[in-house]
Amino acid sequence: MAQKKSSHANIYIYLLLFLAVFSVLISRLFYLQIINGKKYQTQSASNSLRLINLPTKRGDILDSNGKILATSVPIAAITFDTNAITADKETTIHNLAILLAPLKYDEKNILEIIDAANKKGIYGDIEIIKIPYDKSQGLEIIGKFYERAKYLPSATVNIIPTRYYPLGPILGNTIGYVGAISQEEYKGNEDLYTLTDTVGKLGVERSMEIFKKEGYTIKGLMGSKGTQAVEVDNQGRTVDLKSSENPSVPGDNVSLTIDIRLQKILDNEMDKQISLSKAANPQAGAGAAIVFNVNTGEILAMSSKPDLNPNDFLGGLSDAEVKYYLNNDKAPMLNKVIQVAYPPGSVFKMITALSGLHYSGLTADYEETCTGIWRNNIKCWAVHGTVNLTTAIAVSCNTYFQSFAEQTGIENISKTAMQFGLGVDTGFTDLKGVTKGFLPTKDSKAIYENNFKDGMIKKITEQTAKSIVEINQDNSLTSSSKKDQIDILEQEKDIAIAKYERYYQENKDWYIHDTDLVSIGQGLNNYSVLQLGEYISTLANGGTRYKPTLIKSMATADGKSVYTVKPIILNKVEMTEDEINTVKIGMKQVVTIGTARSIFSGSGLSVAGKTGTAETGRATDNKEYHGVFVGFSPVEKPEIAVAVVVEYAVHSSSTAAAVAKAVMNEYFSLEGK
Amino acid sequence: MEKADWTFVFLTILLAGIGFALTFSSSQGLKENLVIKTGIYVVIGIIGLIIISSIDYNKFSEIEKPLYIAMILILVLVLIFGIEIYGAKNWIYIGPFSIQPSEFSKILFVLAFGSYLNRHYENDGSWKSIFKAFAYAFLPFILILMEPDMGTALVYIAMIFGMMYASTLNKKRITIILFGGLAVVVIWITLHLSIGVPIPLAEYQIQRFTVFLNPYQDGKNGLGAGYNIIQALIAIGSGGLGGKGFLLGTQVNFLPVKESDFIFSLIGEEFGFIGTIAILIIYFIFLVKALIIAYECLDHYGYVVVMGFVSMFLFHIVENIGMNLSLMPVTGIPLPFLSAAGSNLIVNFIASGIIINISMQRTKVIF
Repeated sequence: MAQKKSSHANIYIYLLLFLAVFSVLISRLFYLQIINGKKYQTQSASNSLRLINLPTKRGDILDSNGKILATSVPIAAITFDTNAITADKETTIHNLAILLAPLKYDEKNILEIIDAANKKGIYGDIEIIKIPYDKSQGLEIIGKFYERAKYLPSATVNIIPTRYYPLGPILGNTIGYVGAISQEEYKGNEDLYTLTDTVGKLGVERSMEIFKKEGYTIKGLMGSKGTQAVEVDNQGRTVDLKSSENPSVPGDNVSLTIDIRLQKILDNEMDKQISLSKAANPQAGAGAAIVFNVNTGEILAMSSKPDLNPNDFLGGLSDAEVKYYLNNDKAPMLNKVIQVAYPPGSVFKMITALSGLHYSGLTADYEETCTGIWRNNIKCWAVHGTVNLTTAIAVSCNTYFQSFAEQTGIENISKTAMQFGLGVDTGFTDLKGVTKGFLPTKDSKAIYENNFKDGMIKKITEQTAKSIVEINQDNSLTSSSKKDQIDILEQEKDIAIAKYERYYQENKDWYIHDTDLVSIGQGLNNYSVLQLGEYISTLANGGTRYKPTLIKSMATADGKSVYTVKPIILNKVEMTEDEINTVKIGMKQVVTIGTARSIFSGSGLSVAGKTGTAETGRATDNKEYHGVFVGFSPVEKPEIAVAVVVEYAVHSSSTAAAVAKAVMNEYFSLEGK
Repeated sequence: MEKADWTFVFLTILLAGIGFALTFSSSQGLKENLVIKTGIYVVIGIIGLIIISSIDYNKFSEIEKPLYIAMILILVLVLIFGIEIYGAKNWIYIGPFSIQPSEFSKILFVLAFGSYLNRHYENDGSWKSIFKAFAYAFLPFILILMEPDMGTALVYIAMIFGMMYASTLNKKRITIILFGGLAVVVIWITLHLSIGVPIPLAEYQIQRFTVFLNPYQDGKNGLGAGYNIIQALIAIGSGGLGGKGFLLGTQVNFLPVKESDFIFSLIGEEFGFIGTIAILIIYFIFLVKALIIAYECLDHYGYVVVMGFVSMFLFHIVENIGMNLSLMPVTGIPLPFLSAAGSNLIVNFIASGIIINISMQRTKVIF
């Protein structure tokens, strides 16, 4: 059974292997214990390495002229070391309570703060209190702290730069704010952050938190934290700073394309018009506006109402603030310029006009007679008689554009809209959460109606299922009456589902009526104010669609420029200059003789624009409208474009046009200086 | 009985005795009573050694199939009933004792694989015969990777190659596979770190695997993945020539699992260079003794089995001490007989028991 082995040669190879590996181990031990023994004994005596984070200064946010929008001010943080020896800790807490008594601290709540941190898994240095270092009380307390440091052996003071927004709510929604890092944000970024860090939560603070660019390692606003290894003895006292310091690098300063002077006027005028609207209709209170440089795509001002004041978020929200920011149907947390899609109303009509001119051989001389109603169905807002294209734009005649649209067709209209950035990706990447809006086409309508139907059916099914469970759990009912009730519910469910199925079958196809609605900016059309601004900029500059930009440049803390924006062309529209100029003539007449004449007359501004009144919801019986205005200036050599939406505006589009006028006035008065 | 290698028996008991004594120091500051627990394990281990060493090892060759099936069974059981700790299912709990089936599978594997190689004593030295042998070893290996227990998987690689080298398979071809495999792993990791070639491992696993090359460069100045390695170096280095004395080590308290994975750091700190060299000498004699037993065993099965256990012991010793000395990646496999690791301790006693039985049946007495 047992077999004789072939050779013993392997044994010697093994022996050599043993000798080799044991020699390596012994040499290494000799090196560590004999040659370097002293060095390690010193390290061991001082007993431990600790890593101290060196805080970094977050980058500032500036406007295009260098005015500070967000910055960091010094705050003194007193921390308490839980690893210190017990006797020291007791002394420290006792004396800390005396020191902080003017701020209503006592030993009990200091211990509570430490306990709470421990429960969250934070040990070592725990922050007890933050005191603004530039206020007299703060200076006094910190001064006393340094005098009495010897009686506070396990406490330390760190001067930490803390965020501050000098302009408060102005541009607040776009600048955003910073807050404590959440578990989700921490996960996957453990090498960048610690659990006690602050990160950008909204707006530019969030989108520019980390800035990556090839050949450039600095990390946007956040900067990079430094570390300092220190040796501490067995009582936690620092013995020595290790040479291996890894210095912190301050965050980059971000300059926006915003001109804060223009921004202030825009914000003020929005506030004024919104408060006027609110006086007339309690539903009012929100709106959005944007100002573009038409030749670069730079955003010069953008306003989202109601306001968000970033300073409110720094110390945690009060109850009233929670109510305002989080339980508010006007949603101050949303940046309405980029995140909310509004129905455009009549400002869409230039798309219909350009589509007909370019794709269907129609001319400005095309005429239609407005009798006040189109196809016995859609009303025009007045009886305009026989009008041509420019007049139709000036007086915003619905009938004319419906006739025009039926000539050119929905395919050409949507093709045109997309070239102007409507219903497609805006190309805007400087903030997060940008909506694409909704452009109705044959396909997108079918999908939309299908989603609507599915959503309703899901809701009904869930509701029925919930009711059935409730009936089944109701012990007061007999089983036969339960069955009856459930049968009734099931029948009702089937009827409701059949209703939505039928509705879907009736609405999934594209009808001429849909084209009529789209042509005048109603129906399912929905675009962000950013998109409206992009559209008008493109029209104004003769057909070049630029990538919208908010970040103008970035520079390191010592002033070295690391990024400067250059205009990026997204696409050029297919329409000719003549076709665009034809539309512009109509838009100029809007201001001189048309729907916006009362606002701009006597202003001395050279403006072309278009008004819009947009239905606020899906239901057609809703009589309330948002006021919309888009325009650019000067007409001959355009520089800026403005898009404004005021929700439930008191004077409809005139309210929005008033905002545009104020901004244009300010722009040219600034330029004149 | 008179043929038994009493030196080897003595070395086994000596190592276990040292391991037990070390628990008096390493248990300082631990909640559980490590001294009593280890004492119980040592007693169980010695009883196991006595029983196993009295069983004729050739019997194991005859029950190859049941051994192989038992091995697969316990490895599957741990995947089903194992308690998950830090994302790995390595342990089954019975009362206060935890059992690590992958440890016990090593004994079953050496006995079964040895029998397989013995059965294929006559082979044509082809690639095919080598790959068939690999196929035999593949199933337990993959089950251990599934737990996952990377440390034991590496021990398996050492045992597989160690035994194949001792067998009659073509050694040149085995060498090509061994070095080819090593080269692929090294090149892959290097390419991953330099130009980002994808690798089926999480970043932290790779970092754990490479940080020993420079523990201070772990991105946190030696307080991240490199922390344990640095603390181990300080502990060992600060022992100097003569050490700080039994029970007087303090630096090791900065190390987690000082009683197990980092027991060698405790030896280094408390007994110094003299202590660590003494341990290395004892291990060296222990291994050479086992080698001589293999040499003197005249049948192929016994020879391959001893070489399997020698490979196992050698890998545990070199990897564990190497990791303490920052020469090898941290994998967390215990130091034979010295680490307070229950399952491993009993497995080591059983392996010694089998080697002792083989020594009893040798044909010639030297020395």
